Amino acid sequence: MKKVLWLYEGEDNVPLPQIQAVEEKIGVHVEVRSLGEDFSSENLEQVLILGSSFSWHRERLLEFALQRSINPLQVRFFPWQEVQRIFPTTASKLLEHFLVETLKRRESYPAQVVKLLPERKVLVLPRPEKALQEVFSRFGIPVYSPQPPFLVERDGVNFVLSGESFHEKVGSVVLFPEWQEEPPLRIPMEVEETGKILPLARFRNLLSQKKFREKTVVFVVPPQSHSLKDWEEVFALARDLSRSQKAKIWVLAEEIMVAAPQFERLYRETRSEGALFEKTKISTIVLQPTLDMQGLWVEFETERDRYHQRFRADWVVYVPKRSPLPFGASSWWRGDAPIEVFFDLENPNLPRFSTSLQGVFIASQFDEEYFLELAQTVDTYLTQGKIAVSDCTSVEEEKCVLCLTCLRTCPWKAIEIEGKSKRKRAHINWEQCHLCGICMAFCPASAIGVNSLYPEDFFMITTTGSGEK
Amino acid sequence: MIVGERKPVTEIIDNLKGYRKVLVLACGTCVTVCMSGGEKEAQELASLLRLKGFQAQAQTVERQCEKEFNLQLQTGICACEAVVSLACGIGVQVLADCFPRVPVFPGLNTTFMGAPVEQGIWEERCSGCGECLVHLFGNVCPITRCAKSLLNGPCGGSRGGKCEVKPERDCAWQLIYDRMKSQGKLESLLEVQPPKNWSFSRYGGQRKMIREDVKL
Amino acid sequence: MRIASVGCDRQGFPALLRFLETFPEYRMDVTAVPCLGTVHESMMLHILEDGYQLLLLAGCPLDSCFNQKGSEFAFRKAQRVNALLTEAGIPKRVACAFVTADKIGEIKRVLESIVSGQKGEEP
Repeated sequence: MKKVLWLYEGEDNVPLPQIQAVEEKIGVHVEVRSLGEDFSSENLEQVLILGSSFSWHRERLLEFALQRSINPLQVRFFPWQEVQRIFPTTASKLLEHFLVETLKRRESYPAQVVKLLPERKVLVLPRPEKALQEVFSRFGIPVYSPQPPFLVERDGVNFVLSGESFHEKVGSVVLFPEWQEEPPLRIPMEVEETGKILPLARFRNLLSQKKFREKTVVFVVPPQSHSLKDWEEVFALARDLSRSQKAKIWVLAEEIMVAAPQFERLYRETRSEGALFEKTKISTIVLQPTLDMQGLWVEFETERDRYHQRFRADWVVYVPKRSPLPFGASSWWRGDAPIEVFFDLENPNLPRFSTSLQGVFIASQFDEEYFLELAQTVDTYLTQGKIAVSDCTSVEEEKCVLCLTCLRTCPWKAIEIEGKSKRKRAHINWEQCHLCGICMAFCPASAIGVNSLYPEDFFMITTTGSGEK
Repeated sequence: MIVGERKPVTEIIDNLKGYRKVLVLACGTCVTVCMSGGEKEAQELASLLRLKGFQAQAQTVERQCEKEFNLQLQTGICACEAVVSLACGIGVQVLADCFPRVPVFPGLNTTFMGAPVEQGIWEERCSGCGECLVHLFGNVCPITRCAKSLLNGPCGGSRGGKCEVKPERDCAWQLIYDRMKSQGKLESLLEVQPPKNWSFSRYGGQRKMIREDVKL
Repeated sequence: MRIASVGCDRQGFPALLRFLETFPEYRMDVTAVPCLGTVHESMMLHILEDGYQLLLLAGCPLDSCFNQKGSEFAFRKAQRVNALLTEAGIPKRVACAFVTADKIGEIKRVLESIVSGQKGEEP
């Protein structure tokens, strides 16, 4: 008699399904345990977890299978908590139907869940800053940064670098992109020609050369400008010019930086020297040259009361907006799936700094403050590793037409073409595969199979099969 | 490879008026790669036809341009009233040659011979003119990629590197010029190309290739 | 109107169940997939062939899919199926709702707009 184990997780006052009815109808022996209890996996046909869909998704099921050393294809989940609340009278019948259907679809792959740990070493491109190396060493992660030329390939969850005289394996890659600086607001050509609008760095150099007595200087700070150094400089300059040269200072920004320690005080000090702070949307500031081309008209709307401001400024100084350029990879990345550039996915559900390849991170902040967060993310990744399932995907050689769609579409770039003979086919690297099923959905020849993801053979959880609900 | 696009569904349904049992045949080669007539698309079309009241089934043939593969469908074809073939025009005709008494309707408009530029975009690269001279033009074919098929330089109507006839397309001669310049071979473009010998092309009827040594 | 819905393990499926609990006047047949990217055109059409008028796909918001582009791919495939259905004059549709497990208002909004749209079509 087949044995089925039901593991229950949830509130105690929720009624459990009737085992006897199920046993009689389907012809299996059902054992019920609560989730934390031990059990033996001998002769188990299926482990069914009864819980809430809010906390059980594929990854958690895989972690569970890993912990208890069971074939992950034998672990199933049924949202008993919600179902018996939504369908109180038919919940048991729905569970029976689920059981019947899943037992029917028992896969015979010898799948195994494994936790893969990458090498505790990181590659930094193009070259690591000292501060970054130091932060990484605090986490016990050696940094490796060879001299080009070299090539980087993937080997399971690791990255292999090969150059003329070296061959190294690392667990993670950190990219520092080139930064492009651009003005945070539109500067028409005639405004540029006055020579009265400058980035902060150039203005700094002018300080000794020019006089600012009773001149109006406007500082423009772009949004998301977390660079504390820039704000410190703006506050300092604003204070100095106000105090020593009696200049009229405006600071325009979308948010005034007061959150960091000491900055509240700096802000108040600068204000007390007479500097005016206004919140406005930077991209809507309009600049025009004065007739004598010696100054600029600055026009904007204040955020709090939509008051339209227009005044003449002698100098406009802006903090450049820094954005990272996508990191070009074509010269050093080797893999069947071409990757031209790496960029920050900015996906709130993936680890910070993630790119489209797991294990490759891209720094998206300019400041040293973020080195700590970056090193932490890499450390978490190297420590937690990746849960992967072997023998759980298949590509039918006879059906694969080598159209390369799966190779290009796989979000994790886990597919490559294998085969040295004339008959090649796509090959899914199980260490890199996330079992998302996107390749299976796209394959025009229906050659890819991913465990328990049946293209046509799915069934509805909320029907009992006989049409009743 | 050969690229085609599925015909409008309304046209396919109109063609099938009066038939009930329909077989949708996919082709497993070119049209699978360009995602117009492969197994998935055949199943989609079969689903749509079933929703419209036909009794439709989907099946795939490895290559519909080979008689041997088609003849394996003997039983399936006999059981249906009409066939919608999602192969290119070649496959449709060969299939009909194999089963002359079965109504075979094309489900695809075969368009061109082309290559994938990137995932999801296929562009024409060859017109099958029968006398390949791309090496004279930096390996950019002016017959196919120039809207006017000019062989001796640009027409002068391009703007910003784009063709004046089809502004979304690059001007082929711009590409040829850029390529030859990067190879340092601009002078060879000064050679005048004689009028093309179109007798090798399809004008004048279908072409044939014979290899006496492999004939049985 | 018979509605079927497919939700992704992460956000879509829990959202659908919560929706059914919160709004008992709606009845849908639900099933779960690991990622919405798994759902392809044939699957959508097969579900509709089973007698449903509407297929609702529920998944993570487009830029926060755990598999980077799963929701976006599903959205594009749904658009393609809808184009085919409209072309063929079949009165069934596929709709998408991108939700998080606790913000289920979008599901209601999508269903309501379709139902009211349908009502508008009646003579």
